[in-house]
Amino acid sequence: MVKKIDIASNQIREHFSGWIKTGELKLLSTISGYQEEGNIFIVYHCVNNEGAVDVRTSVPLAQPVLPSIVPVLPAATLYEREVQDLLGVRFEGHPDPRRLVLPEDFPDNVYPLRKDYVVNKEK
Amino acid sequence: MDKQIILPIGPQHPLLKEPVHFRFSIEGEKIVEADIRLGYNHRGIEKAAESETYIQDLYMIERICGICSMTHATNFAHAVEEIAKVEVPPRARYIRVIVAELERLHSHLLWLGVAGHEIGFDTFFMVAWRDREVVMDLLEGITGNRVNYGINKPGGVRKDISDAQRKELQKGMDILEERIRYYQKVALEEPTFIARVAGIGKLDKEIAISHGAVGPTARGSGITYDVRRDLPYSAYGEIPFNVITSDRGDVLGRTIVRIGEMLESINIIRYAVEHLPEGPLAARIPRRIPAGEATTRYEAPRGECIHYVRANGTEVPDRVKVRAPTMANLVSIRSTLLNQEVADIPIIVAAIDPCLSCTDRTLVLLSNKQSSEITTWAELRKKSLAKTKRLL
Repeated sequence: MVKKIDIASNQIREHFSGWIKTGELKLLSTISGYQEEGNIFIVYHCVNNEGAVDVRTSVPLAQPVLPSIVPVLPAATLYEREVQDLLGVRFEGHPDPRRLVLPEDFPDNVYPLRKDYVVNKEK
Repeated sequence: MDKQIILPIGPQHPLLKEPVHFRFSIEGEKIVEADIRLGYNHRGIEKAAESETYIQDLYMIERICGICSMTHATNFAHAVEEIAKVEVPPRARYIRVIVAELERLHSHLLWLGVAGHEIGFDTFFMVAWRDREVVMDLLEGITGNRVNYGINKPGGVRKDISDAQRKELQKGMDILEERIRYYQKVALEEPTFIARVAGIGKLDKEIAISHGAVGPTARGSGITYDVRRDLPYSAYGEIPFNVITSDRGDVLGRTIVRIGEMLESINIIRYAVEHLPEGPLAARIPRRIPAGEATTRYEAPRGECIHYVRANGTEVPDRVKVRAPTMANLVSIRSTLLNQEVADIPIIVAAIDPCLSCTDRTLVLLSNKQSSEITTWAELRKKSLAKTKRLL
């Protein structure tokens, strides 16, 4: 079973730089996110010396801003950009916040993985 | 040389299951900067998964990749089983391991052939792919399909392995072991092959850790992480095997790791076939999956693959997240390309094992003159072949 930790959104970078300093973090597997009512939850899927750990934080939908962990952990570079594209969370301090997966002509401020984005299914 | 030239490669080239665009800044023959643009093949599968049932999702997710189809299907099935708290019968877990290791064998043999092809060692390419057919025939015999096996279902597997098939598997493993031991000898002793891969595409262990490299790419740089051993799933906790690593950190290191892993896969398959437990093939699983979440990891041929599934008590998942191993390895590929020669691009990019299958077209833009000319992946490969000739 995966261990779970909840952390305040403004503490996330300190948390990871602490883990890196102590050598506890083995791998940041990916960053995923999901929307639940008025909040966006971001989950950092990690492997540390004891096993798999999911670090979870949340930001309000009205102001989805998180500190980027790329300055302390380059492994997050592409994962943060993917979350930014698909869920519209801005990672403050990301050195290269370009689009990653969505095309250049995709409309701004539309985020496919939010619940208000409905896919038109052809019948 | 103070003139920098931008060399864009892709997006339409079969390096990856997702077409990818590389932008190299080069000075003479030296790469000074590399940039990647992804997303050309983003099919919205994560969003689509939110509107289909778990069973439909399993088959859709199996089709994320044509090579790692067992990877995605098993990993998703594991997540659903964990949320539903369903115990998979032992026989099904062993069959999953057998198919998974056959998939690793076919993927690594494919890679070995491609690596040979990229440096002009086409005999290697031909014989490796010929021997890969042994694996493909076994997969077809067991599952009915050469790719997208469709053997998984939530709760277990759909097809049994008969005693006759077990004998076929043992026979196939004997043929493959002899062939792969021969490839090991070639990779470690053939001077031209070594000249093209030793010291090329260096990835330091520290960078591999901080940039989150996984799979043979990480293990070729001395990282010992292997999901099968460190966070065991299916039946891997009960099967003895070794994790292969190399401290070299170059393309040769990654080759040594992959060949060693194939020999381990053969032993895992032999053990699983011999110790295949009796019993049912699948446990019953409810159509409505109770609310909950699961993070599952799986050691794909290319490295750790992770799925994150959230269920909300209905027939469809609330969220499905998939991260395939190539995505993790694209972060560190920049540092393996810097200060390398243009002629080494094909083998370095191939060394993280994206699916390189046929010719590609690339575009060379000479930044100083604003003019453009078309060059092809074949021409880039010719550069690579010329380097091999020079070394002969």
